[in-house]
Amino acid sequence: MTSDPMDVVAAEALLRRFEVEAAQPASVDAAWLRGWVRELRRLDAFAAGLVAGRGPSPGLGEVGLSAFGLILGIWDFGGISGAIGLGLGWVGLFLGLGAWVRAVRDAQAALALQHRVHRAATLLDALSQARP
Amino acid sequence: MVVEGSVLLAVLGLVMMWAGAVLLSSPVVLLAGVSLAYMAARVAGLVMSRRAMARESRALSGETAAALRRVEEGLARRGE
Repeated sequence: MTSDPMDVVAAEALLRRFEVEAAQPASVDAAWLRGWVRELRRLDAFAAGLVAGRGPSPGLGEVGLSAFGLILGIWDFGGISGAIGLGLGWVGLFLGLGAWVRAVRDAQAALALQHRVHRAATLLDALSQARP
Repeated sequence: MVVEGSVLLAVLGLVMMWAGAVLLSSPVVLLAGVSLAYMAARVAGLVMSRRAMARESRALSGETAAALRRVEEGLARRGE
């Protein structure tokens, strides 16, 4: 068992280790069960935190580009630079949207990790009940 | 709040599309309306998707905690 700071790679490695150990019935004893109860709680809290977290969001670059484009567009509405400004504004908005899409993908990956933790907890429960 | 705002923006985009195509015959306004409606619909979809994931995450956490509690109760019953 470890108490290292958690990241996604470490979490997945820990889950793989659980799956390997759980496949060997000889390793299932009280200390092993207690250790994995603690680790799986930690993993679940970590994954739930990632799902609930804000993740990447539109940064200063995207917001600045949108604002600059909008101001330029209003300042010279109908002119060439105004048209370029509005174009830049739209590009900034699309880039900002991309950041939100990345945040949702990160949350989906974290949710998949939480599903694996849930399956591990169910397996641990089954192993605990199957003990002689 | 974000979802309602996005729906309003999507409606504005549709109005711009209609105005660009019918009233002004302006492809620029039409394109702006299309992209505004697309972006607003996408943002609304993303926000709703995150809400659904947060709900699922809470439910999973509850089930995981229950399974782990059962393991601890089993150990306590055995006096281990």
